[in-house]
Amino acid sequence: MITFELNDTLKGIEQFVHQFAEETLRPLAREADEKGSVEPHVIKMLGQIAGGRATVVPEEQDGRDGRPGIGNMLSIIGSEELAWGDAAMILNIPGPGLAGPSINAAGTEEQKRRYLHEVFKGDYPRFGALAVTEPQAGSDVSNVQTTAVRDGDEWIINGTKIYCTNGARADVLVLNATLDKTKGRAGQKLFVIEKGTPGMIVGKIEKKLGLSASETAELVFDNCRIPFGNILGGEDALNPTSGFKGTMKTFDASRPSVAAMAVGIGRASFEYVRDWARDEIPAHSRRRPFVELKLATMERELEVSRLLCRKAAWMADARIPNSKEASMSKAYAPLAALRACIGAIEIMGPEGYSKEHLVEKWYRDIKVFDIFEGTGQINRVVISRQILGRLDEAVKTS
Amino acid sequence: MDLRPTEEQQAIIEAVRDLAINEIRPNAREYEEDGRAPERIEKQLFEMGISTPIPENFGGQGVFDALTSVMIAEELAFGDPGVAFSVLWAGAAATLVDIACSDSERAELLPQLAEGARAYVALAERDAGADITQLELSANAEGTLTGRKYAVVNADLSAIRLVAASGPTLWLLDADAEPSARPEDKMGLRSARTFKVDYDGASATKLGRDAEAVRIALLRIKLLNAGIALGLSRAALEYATQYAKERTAFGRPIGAFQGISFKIADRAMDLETARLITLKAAWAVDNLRPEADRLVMAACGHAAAAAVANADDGVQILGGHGYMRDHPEEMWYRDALTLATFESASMVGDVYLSAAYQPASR
Repeated sequence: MITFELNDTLKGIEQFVHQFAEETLRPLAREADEKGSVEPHVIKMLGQIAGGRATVVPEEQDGRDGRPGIGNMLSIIGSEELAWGDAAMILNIPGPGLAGPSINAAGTEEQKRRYLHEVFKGDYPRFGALAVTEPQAGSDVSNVQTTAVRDGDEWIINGTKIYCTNGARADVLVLNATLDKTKGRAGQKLFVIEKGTPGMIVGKIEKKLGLSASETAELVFDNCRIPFGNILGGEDALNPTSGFKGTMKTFDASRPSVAAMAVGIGRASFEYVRDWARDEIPAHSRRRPFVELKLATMERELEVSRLLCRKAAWMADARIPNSKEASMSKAYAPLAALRACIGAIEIMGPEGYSKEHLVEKWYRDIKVFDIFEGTGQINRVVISRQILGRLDEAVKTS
Repeated sequence: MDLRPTEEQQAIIEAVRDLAINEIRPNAREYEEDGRAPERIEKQLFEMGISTPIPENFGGQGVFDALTSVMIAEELAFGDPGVAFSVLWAGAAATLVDIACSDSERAELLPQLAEGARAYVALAERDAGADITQLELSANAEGTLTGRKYAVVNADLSAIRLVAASGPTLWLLDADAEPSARPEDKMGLRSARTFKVDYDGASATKLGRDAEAVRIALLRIKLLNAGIALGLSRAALEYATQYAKERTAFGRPIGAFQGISFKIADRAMDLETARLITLKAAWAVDNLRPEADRLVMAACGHAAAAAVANADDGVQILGGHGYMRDHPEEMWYRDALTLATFESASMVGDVYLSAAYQPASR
């Protein structure tokens, strides 16, 4: 039966996370943005408070006895609320991060136990990261040049990864590398590299338009040796086609979460300017009807964006394939949120670009949401292929 | 959160879809030229209990919730938006009476409707579109009406004539009232036989349990237009998608060009967002949620905008063929904006939503 009601667990989490975002993240947002980093003691505190996210009973998360779980819904509801607080800060919350979904999708039980649980135990903050992008391979993931060569009980990794969130500090890094460039995607596998492995060199830490407080690193692998068992999925992963699918499955889970973060930023802008306009734009102002109409459009577009995220998450929890819906949420929500951020600055005028308010920061932060985890364009490729089929296949091979 | 329709809803959708694809779509051009929905289809939908939902104790086959009725609207409009508009807005009288009226009013009117009495609901106005909070047609204490309505289906043939007035309030035109009704020679939705009706001086009787019941019932039937917009969007998108797979240019199907495939992706997102917010609005109406009115207005606006965009790109993707009457895209292009005049996102839906941001002093 169709219902848009969230269950009590989800409502509780939504409330809890919102409070955390409002009381802890938002007040620290400006300072972190200016410093370009988050203080270690704040990171530790974020880790302790966000530990509350783990209070959901696991069977409810994963689903049991044929009943759908809520793990994906939980993730998008949390993402929206956290990003409403501050999107850059939340990327500093310790945990597996984007390494999580790929290990979950492609790892063996032993690997999941080790890299998702054991590593993250203990008192001090630990991070996971996913390294996919290379200087010459963004959306075209199949074009990665990083190689993995087997040498007895080890893999030797060589190559360069860029734009890796939390890459420098990652305790668990997942990366994709090719075993055989001639096989394209099928030649790629996912590997785990632990912090401090010789041959893994941290390169440049990027300076960015927005999300300044989030670490974005270049990683260079120079004859980096890792144990054979660090290939995700173990020996089975060497069967043809299993590795690349793992990466793609990761996107189906992570895209709606990233889209939900965009909704959170858009909503932050919308709510801020709504309240500002109520107090600051006089009733007789000729701008007033324009402002009211703009607010209404923002509200509607953010609402439908949220629904796209929720549908994609609900499908994932119900084990319904959701590639199209995941890409729709990611293609639609960041642009709707960007329009909300632009609208907020337009409404506030010169107050809007001032660093006295966070709207200028949200406008800088939001832009990357139409770029990372798949640009709007590559998501449109995914969506249209789902609708039209692979019409470009014939052209490519000819 | 759950987005699976019930088995009952699924069965209804399939029955209506079958009729829409096999009976309505193949003849849509003929209906448009006739300027009316075919009696055979009207009769069939009536007998299936689809178009005019009436409770069993009043001689009908049962009623639907708002969710089911928007699903029906989408499926019918996939066959032909004009036929859907015609049939559903006639049938909406039954829903309006069932939800808004007192027991005695229901006992009087519903059995007549169950026996097949023709009915209409007059809602849309020039300045309000179908915004039920901005209606200007008024009634005085004696029940004399002042004002004009648009898109009134089969105004000359209907025995039970319901008129929505400011408040909103609901009125039943007296049997001897003869308001001037002129046929609308419209750009689109031509298979819906509609009239522009001037009610000045017409006498009517007030209906409805209370203002709240009338408001909910009007919200409920207003959502039919969102459902029709969904069906239109889906029709235009599917047709253009099929064409993009088959038509080749420069040695490949045109769908292999991103200039075309990205349009299709964008319009598919418009349809998907429109369907989600329409379903959410219907769910909110069914559950009497406080945000129901905002969601209904947002859904109608968003769905209308999606229909206009889908029909526009539908014609564009077919290129010259899209402009010709050999293909249905040009018809949907006309239908979409005709439908959207009641709902257009910026002119009605968002204007309604924006009222919440006005200073209290206004």
